[in-house]
This record gives sequence, structure tokens and C-alpha cells, in this order.
Amino acid sequence: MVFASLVFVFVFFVANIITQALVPSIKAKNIVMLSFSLVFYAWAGVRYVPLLLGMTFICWFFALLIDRAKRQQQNAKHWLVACVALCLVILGIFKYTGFFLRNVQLLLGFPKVIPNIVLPIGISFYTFQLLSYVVDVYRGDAEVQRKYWLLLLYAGLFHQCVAGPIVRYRDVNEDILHRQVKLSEVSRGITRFAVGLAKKAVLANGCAEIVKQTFAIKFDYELTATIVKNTSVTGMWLVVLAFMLQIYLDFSAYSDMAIGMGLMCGFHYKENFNYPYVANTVTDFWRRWHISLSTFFRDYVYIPLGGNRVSKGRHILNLFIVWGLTGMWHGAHWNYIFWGLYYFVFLVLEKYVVKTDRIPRILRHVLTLLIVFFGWAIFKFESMPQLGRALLGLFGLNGNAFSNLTSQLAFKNNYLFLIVCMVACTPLIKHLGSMLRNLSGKNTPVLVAYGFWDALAPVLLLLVSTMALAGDSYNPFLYFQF
Amino acid sequence: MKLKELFSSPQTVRRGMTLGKIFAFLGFLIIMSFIGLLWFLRPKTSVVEKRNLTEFPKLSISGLWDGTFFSGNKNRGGIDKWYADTFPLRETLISMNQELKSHYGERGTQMISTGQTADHIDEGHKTQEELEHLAGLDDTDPATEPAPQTEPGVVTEPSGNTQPVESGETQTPPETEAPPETSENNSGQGAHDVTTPAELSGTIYITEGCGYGVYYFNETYSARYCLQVNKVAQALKGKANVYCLVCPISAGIMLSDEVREETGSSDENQAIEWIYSNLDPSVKGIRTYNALKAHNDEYIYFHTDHHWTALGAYYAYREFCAAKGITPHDLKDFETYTFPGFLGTFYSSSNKNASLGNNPDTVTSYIPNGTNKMTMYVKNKDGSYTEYGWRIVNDVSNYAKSELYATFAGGDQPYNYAHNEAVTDGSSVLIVKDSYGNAFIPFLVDHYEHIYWIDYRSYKHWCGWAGQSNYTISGLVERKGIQDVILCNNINSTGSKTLLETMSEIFK
Repeated sequence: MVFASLVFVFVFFVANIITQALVPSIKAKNIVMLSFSLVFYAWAGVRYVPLLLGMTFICWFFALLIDRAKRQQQNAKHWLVACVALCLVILGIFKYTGFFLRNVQLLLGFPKVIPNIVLPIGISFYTFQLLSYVVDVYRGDAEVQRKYWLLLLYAGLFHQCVAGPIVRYRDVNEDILHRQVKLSEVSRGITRFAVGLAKKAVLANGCAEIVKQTFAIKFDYELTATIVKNTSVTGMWLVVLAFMLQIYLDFSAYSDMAIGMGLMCGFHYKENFNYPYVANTVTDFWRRWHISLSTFFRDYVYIPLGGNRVSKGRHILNLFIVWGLTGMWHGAHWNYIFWGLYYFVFLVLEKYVVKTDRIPRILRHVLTLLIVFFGWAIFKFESMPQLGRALLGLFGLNGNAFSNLTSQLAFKNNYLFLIVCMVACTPLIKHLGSMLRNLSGKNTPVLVAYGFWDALAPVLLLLVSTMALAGDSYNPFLYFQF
Repeated sequence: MKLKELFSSPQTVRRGMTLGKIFAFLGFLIIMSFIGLLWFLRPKTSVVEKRNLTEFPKLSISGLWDGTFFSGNKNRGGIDKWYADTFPLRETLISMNQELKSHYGERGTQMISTGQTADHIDEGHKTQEELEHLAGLDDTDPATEPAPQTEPGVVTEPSGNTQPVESGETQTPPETEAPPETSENNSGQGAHDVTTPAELSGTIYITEGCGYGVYYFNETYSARYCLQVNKVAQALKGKANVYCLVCPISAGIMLSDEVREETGSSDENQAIEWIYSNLDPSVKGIRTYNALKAHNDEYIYFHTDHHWTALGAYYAYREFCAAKGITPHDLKDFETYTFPGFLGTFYSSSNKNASLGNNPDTVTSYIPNGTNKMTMYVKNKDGSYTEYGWRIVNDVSNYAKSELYATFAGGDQPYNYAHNEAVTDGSSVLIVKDSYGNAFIPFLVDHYEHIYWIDYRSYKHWCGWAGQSNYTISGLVERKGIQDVILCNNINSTGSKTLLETMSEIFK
């Protein structure tokens, strides 16, 4: 099930909050949450549920072994290694077998037939969550969980199971066991959820439509390298711009909704995005983009490898490994690996070559956005012929026209909408809101005005999202593949 | 007093506001989900989209296992899609959404594209072998047109808000049936797509409240079309005169060449000439392009629909008369019906484009003088047919605003016949047509004693029901002793894989 669908909002979510409110004890609430989460997860097919149950079982079991070994003052490292290896092998089989065999086939001509393994949804997210749990138990950063079903609730909680953020066990354990619902948090959660829903249903899906319109593809028509080749230069820039807006608005919307739903029932998830498009450097961008993933790689890969407290050569190697893995995590295609390594290059440049603080601030910002822009161009096209055509097309090297009617109309028909999307990528509205709130502390009429606006906005956003979802069967879930 | 107290401290105000906010949001959420539960309000069909909405999925173990019961797949909607597609307020919500979208930017000019591109049109006659090579019949299918995932759904139930008009004839006519021409200008979209209109109108260019159908020449399919027409010509050689009328669509006629070229589309005149030059010499190609172009300051195409108006069809009829060597009737000779408020296929295909919605069409139809009576067969839900006495030009003033083109020739029924008693020379004509033929047929009626017309998209199915094993055009011509055969379809149909496949069944 996707959050941005009518059946989720008006059936699943409503049923979930009503039952949450009706059952008394925390144990009953947890049972309700787990049941809803399993139904949510089974929505993509019951066949994926055993995998979630199995992976959770493996990590639950090994964490118990690690805990026992530690308490008996024995070495627990082999249990940790075994568990991590097992999880990564399972993830690898489901996610990378096809990719690996395709490349072997290209090089060596065999195997003849490549099995079509369907990627179970959310596997990349919950595997990482479970791994963080096991490592944290090993490191003594988290208490072991003796109840399997509570660990399953952590791994499978529908708020974040399929699209993040990647929540650490130690951050959420307290909420699982002792959460309380506070009115002020429910209120914040409502706004957050409504903002997220509108970002996805109205803005991100609207951006996806602009991409389709610019490519002049309709309905389920597949994009081809020929279509990319024939797209004009301005059209290609519009496509990548719209995609750049879409991917942020889409992905951060899922985090918004997760955080919002969490607040409504007492869970506290950490922020996953911090307005990445206002970043001034590439390093800054990655502090603001998909924070839970970067911190995962930082804490569980980069620092164990030695981080930056090593020789320059080793440090660059560490960065190479981390960014290669970050790319691979996003999908089993070469373009994602290129995308990761593309950032590796810029991060090394910023670290060792370019003195970014000597560049004027505004120029730094523009350069960062341009680097991110071309990064998304690489990210968007999984097929190599399309990627090649797209990169050439951005500079008119396909023999494509500079501009044509299709791209002009795609821009003209949507320019106000694009401005709204760009504003939505900045903290502008958030700042305005806090300004009003600060003002309202001293002045009751302003407080009343603010209160009305604060109460009305989520309802309006929900209405607009419902309109968009009803009018829009085109509702792709970009992050299912990760 | 209490109110005063409430406003006395910011803390109490703030708490009140927070509670108000939570009640407002949850209240709206719960009201909407309650409306969603009202199963009896859920629509089953969409008149404007001309399709059946997604049905509740059938429960099966495999559907649960692979998730299609819940989430559906490319071909079939699951609970997700059923819930959204049949949401009680869906039509209203879509209209509101469309209204919002009209503010996304400057939307006076829009292009709703199918992503087709135009092939180069070269000149010169092709041999049979060359045509077969171009048609890809010696090879595998070309990949120029994506195959549809599923056939678009058809609304077979009568629309609720339309009433039949008392005809005083043998049998009560059915209410307006949505014309089953859904596969025209086929495209690869699923039957249950929320935004998907069943009848696609190809690429549409919309500017200043007018839609224009845009044509892309496809050499492969055009070659196939020629080969199929030539098969009919071979089968009818010495038995009947064969005329071919490929009707231009609006962009090629109404737009200036500069604008038309900007859309990347093909010159329709060149394309029609390409087709005619590759037809069997016994086939008379009826050239209407120049005549229509000369009248492009008149109301010859609808603004909100992909069809020509009766006036456009009239100019084509004059060209037919010239080719046959008969005198056309003057427009003044006909009595007319006028139906305002028509919002046709461009309107639904563009997801109810607001500028089109504000510029509805008026349908004018010209009543034949010889007779206005016809017999037609209308398909029932169970696949059988019922015979109806009907009117060739019918009063559709009570029909839905999207259905007014149904005034002509009974709409798109598979097999139709009219006997014009004002002519007694035994002359007969068969029009093999898609919906473009409908507006053309009433003008022909006065020139023949026996007028037959079949819709090539459904005629074979009707033959199956009627127990007629020979469903070819030549079979019908021989049975009825027909003298003139007119193959009449719009130019987009000559470039559509699925329609060409349908034609190939009976074009023999």
C-alpha cells in the first residue's frame, strides 16, 4: 500500500487511529500496530511477509546469542559476523542477483537465462534497520529485545517499513514500550502528515506529469532512448529540473508522513531531510539529504573503516567504499553506482582540492545545485542508452533542437506550479510559520489568526490531496525499488 | 464571561486552538471515510470517460499471494484502484482538481500527446512487393506503436440521464448507448485507469478553446491499409464500384502549416495522396483535403471532439458526388436539427480541459429528404443483438452532452439498413465506416434506393450472432447485390495497429 492513495488515507489510516485510540493498554496498542503493519506489508503480496518474518527472526535470534555471549564474557564477534553476512546475502540474492548475472552474461556470454527475482518491498530499509539493531546490541548501544514480536514491530512498523526513514532501534525502543500521546504532538503530527501527503499527491506527482509531458509520453508508454534523443535541449533541462523537484518532494513526503503519523500515536522519528536544496556545498547537501541513510553508512561502515583518522590514501578509499555502497543501495543498476561515485569525486574534491570557503556564497550555492542537478540526470535513467542520450541531449549533442513546441508548452503550462514546487523545497513557509507563532505569543488577535490558519491548513491540504489522488491514477512509488 | 476567560490567557487559547485543529482534521478525515463506505453511491461507469470503472477484485489465493487482489497489476485493478476509481465523489473531485490545475501556468495552448512521431512521406507508386515489405508482413511486427496492455473498457449500459425520443416506430428504441468505438486510435492504456478516457483521440493540440486532432504518418501501417483496401478491390472486381474516402482530421485542415509543423505532425494531404497512389487502379480515391481546406473558415470540425461536423462531411459528400458523376444536393434542401452544448472526446481525453469546457460545440444534423427511417442492431449485455427501427438523423436533445454525435446514422452500430422509397431504380450502396462515416451517411441517402452501412469494428461479431458465416465485405455485397462500396474512415485509423487488424478480418 502506498501512503498517497485514497484507500490508505480513508480506510487504513482512519481505522488505525480509531483502534489505537480505543484500545487501552500499551500491549494492546502494540498488538494493533503490529497487525496493521502486517496487513500493510501484505498489501504488496502475502508472499513477501515470510521474508520479513524470517529476517527479523534471524536478527532476533543472533542478537540473543550475542547478548548471552557478552554476558558470559565470551567473544560475540563471530555471531555478529554470521548474522550480518546472512542478512547481506539474503538482501544480495533478492536485490542484486539479476544485476550480477546480467553483467556476467555481458562479459562471458552465460548464463543464458537470468531469473527474474522480484524485489520485496522495503527490504533495503528493514534489513538496514535490523542490522543496526544487531550491531547496536553487540556494541552495547542497545538492550537486547527478548520478545520476537516487539522486534518485528520495530522492523515492520508501517510508518517507516517501506520507505524510511531508517529508524534506529535505540531511538524507538522507548516509544514502543512506553509511548504516550500528547495533544501538542498530535497537532504537530497532523500538520506534518498533511504537508507530506500534499507534497506527494499534488507536487511530486505533478512534477512526474511534467516529465511525461515533456517527453510526450502518455499513460503506460515506455520511455525509449529514441524519445530521449529527440527531446530538445530546453526539454531535457526541464525534465531533469522536474525530476529533481519530484524526487525530493516525493521522498521527503514519505518521511514527513511517517514522522507525522508517528507523532499522532507517540512515536518520535528523527528528521530525514533538512532542505537539501539550500545546501552550499556537496558535503552540506549530504548532511541534509536522506540523513538516516548517511548516518547509517557513517556509523556502520565509514567509522569502522577508520573514517578520516587515517592516511589520506586510506581516507579516500574509505570514501570510495561508502559512496560506492550508497549508490548500490539505491538500486541494482550501473547508473546508481555511477551516481554514488559521482558524489565521491565531488566530496574528495571538496575535502582535498577546492577551498570551498573561498568561493562566494551565492556562487557556491549555484554550483552545488548544478552538481546535484547533473547527479539527478544520472540517477533518473537506469538504461545506459537512455542515460547517454540524456547527458548528450542536455548540451544539444544529439542533433536535437534547442527548443520545440512540446517543451515550450510543458514549461508554459506549468511555470507557476514549478515555482510553487521550488518554494516547497525551501524552508520559507516554515520560517513564515514560526515568525507568526512567535508574534502570536504576545498578541491574542494574531494568535487567533494563527490558530485558524494552523487548523485550516491541514484540512485544506487533505482536500487538495484527495482531489489530486482522485484525478490522478498516475501515482508511481519511486522508492519501492530500494 | 466565559469567552472572555477563554481569551484571557494565551495558554487557554492555544489549547482551544489545538483541540479545534485536531477535531477539524479528524472530523474531515472521518466524514470522507464514511462517504467512502457508502457502497450504494459508488458509480459503476463513467459517462464522460466512456468506460466501466474498476470492479471489486475477485478474491483468490493467488491474488492474495502475489498482491494483485490488493494492489492490482498493469492489467487489472485491485482494491486500491477499485476504491479510488469508484469513490462516490470522484467526478466532483476530478473537476475540482482540473480547476486547480488550470492555474498551474498559462494553459491557453496545450498539447496532449500520444508520443507518436511522423515518418517521412516519400512520393511514388509502390509495387505489391514493396508494399508488403513496408507493411512488415515479411518480417516481425514493427515496434513503432506500443501494444495496448489491455483493451479499453466499453460502457455498454445506457447513460442514466438520457431519454429516448418517441419515434412512433415499431419498437421502443434503446436509450442512448455509448458508441462502442473505444478502440479507435488505440493506445496502450489500461481499462481501469482513473484518468483514462476510453475513446482516445490521438494527439490533441488545444489552443484558444479549440482542440485539433493531430496526425502522424506511419509508413508501415499505411502500407498495411493499402494492402487491405486492395484486397477488397480484388474481391469486388467487376462486381461493384469501390470508393475509398480517407477523411482528413482537423489539425491538417484548420491549422496553418507553420503551426501544424511545429507540432511535428505530418501533412495529411501528402499522406492521403501516398495512400491513394498505392491503391489498386480500380479503387476511386475521393480527395477531400483541398475542398475542406478551402472552407476552413467555416465550422467543419468540432472544437471539443475529434469528428468533423455535418458541414465538413457535406463538403466531402460533394467531392464524392463529383467522383461518381452525380449532382449533390444543396444544403438549403435539408431540414435540420441543432443540439447545443456538445462536449466531445477532446474534452474527455484532455481530462476535461477547462478552455474546451467553456467552448462547447453545437451539433447540426441534416435530415435526409428521401427517408429518415432505418433499421439497426444494438448489442445487448449478453452479446446478443436487438433490432430497432430508428431515425437516420435522430433528435438527441435529451442525450448526455458527450453523446450528441450520436444524432448521425444510429451511432456506431454494426449493421444498418435504410430503404429510400423515393428512389426506385434499385440502386444500392454499402458504406464501410468508422464514426467519421456517420455524419456522411445522411447525405448519401437521397441518392440510392438501398443504403447499407456497417461498422468494420463490430460487423464480424454481429455476423457471428446473426448466423452469417461469410462476414467479408464481398460476401455482403454479393448477398445484397450492392453496386457501390465506400470505404470511409478517418486518417488516424489508417495508422492504428488494432484497427487495421479489425479491418483485415472483413476487408476481403
